[in-house]
Amino acid sequence: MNSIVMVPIRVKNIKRHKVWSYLLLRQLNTNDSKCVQIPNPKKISSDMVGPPDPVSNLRRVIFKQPTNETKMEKTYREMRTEVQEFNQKFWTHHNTRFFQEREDYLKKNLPEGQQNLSADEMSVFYKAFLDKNWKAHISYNIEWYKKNFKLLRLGLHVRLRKLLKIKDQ
Amino acid sequence: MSYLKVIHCTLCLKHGYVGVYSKPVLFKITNNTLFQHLARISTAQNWRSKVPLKTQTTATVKNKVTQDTRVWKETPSYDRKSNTGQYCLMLSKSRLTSLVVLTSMAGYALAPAPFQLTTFAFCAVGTGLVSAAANSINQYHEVPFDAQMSRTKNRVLVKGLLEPVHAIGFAALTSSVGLGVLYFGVNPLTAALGAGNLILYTSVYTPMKRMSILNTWLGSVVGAIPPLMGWAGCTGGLDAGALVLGALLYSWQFPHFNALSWNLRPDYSRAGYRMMAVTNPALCRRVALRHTGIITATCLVSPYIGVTNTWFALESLPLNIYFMYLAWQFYQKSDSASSRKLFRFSLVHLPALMLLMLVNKKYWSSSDTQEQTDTKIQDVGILDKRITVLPRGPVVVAQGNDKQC
Repeated sequence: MNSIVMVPIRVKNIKRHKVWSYLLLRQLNTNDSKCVQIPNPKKISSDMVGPPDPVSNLRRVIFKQPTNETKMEKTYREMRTEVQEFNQKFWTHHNTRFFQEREDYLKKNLPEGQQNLSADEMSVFYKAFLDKNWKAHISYNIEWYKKNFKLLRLGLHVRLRKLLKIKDQ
Repeated sequence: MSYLKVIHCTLCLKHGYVGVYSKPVLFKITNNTLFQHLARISTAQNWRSKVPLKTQTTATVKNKVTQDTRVWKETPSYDRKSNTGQYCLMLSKSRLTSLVVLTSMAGYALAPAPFQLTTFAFCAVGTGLVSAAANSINQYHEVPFDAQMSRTKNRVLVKGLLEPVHAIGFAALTSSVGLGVLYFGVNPLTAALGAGNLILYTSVYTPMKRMSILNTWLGSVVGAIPPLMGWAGCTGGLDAGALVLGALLYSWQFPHFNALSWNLRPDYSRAGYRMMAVTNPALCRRVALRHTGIITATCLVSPYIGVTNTWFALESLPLNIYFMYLAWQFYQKSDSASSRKLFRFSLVHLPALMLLMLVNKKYWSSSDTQEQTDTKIQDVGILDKRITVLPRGPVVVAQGNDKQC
């Protein structure tokens, strides 16, 4: 049902002319809460953070794209998007692998009739997984620290510029 | 469930259509609440402001607290100004910081030098601020890892309530003020220890958590430094007594952390943290037990080093024996129940031990300065020639004072 309702809300007198304000409401029906629209970067008034991703556990951020964006702000926004994608990719692959390998381990070692393994038996798998992924973790760590520092530097620059610009005006 | 797209038009009768302002507002509408929402929009004060309408109350009137149930929220959060205090507490990991400040205060109170309230307060405040800075930087570094673990996924940076720039700004402010307070209000040694601890925690311990299990030993050193800061703040130096206190705190970290991490093994493994509990469970249990033994031994030895009187050795024994017993249970059973018991008792054990130490401390020179105690020792020397039976100690000092008057 898509209904349009027009509701008058306010009447003001501006320069002796009556100005009417209306509210136009368009009702859109959606069936599922998961079909929430992703905010449009050009229309939002601030960066928006979303729900955690079910696989990577990271929250997606939509960065606001203002019309008067400076070059530095654009670089900053693009870098933030790139780092976000980098993190998302790593953790999605990593977590998928973890759960897959856990399932394989359980299938191999679960005796008949039992639902779970004890914590000590599972810890053999946890240790093996950690050891196997040590190199991957180290290289991700180094990459993440480098990118995080870069983002911080650029973020401080952008904010400083904004502050100084406001002071100049 | 349905959604509203609200378009606000301004019409002028003379000049015709003037302007249109569209604002997509997601409202969950159920059971004819449409017109309730309409009324709210039309009378909303912030309709014209740039701030988007963000409150979505449920239909019930009883629920006076407006809950933000939107899926997409502003980052950083718009309630920053009104919730500054709360966000500062969250960035500083307030419970951990208060425990750190407590150990620092205990170090100051136990030191064999006069207790000065102003220096004591400066030491506590400075330590708290430096600890807040360290925890803030730690959270800045660990956003994607904190997101993976259920214990830490509700931290401010993970949820997007604050930005990394805020965390670093907060850390810069608190560390500079904290170190300044320590340097000017206490003494340079305490400030140096604080700065060293800050660097150790943020730049060595935090990255090391993902590289090697040695991080636990390093983290224990980090935990042992605040009482040393308090001690140095009081006496101006570090002596054998300070090391006793430091050793106690160092050893305490092991049963505390090993028990905590025992139940978080799946999370630590998936998030990539290298902890003994995951990579070497047998070592984890052994180390926890070993260090409860070291704590007991240290407490028994402390009267001989001159930190406390002999009563302390007796009074602390039941506490330490019970701690050892719980560690033994953890070593034998190594299940979630025994680990949780050990962890919970460790939170009781530390404050209780420090209180006992405080009550049983050897030196109670609260009003005397160092010079006065020196002159008193000279007087005692003179008195000794005449009265040889009297024991050395506060009794003689008091008598010496009376004789002087």
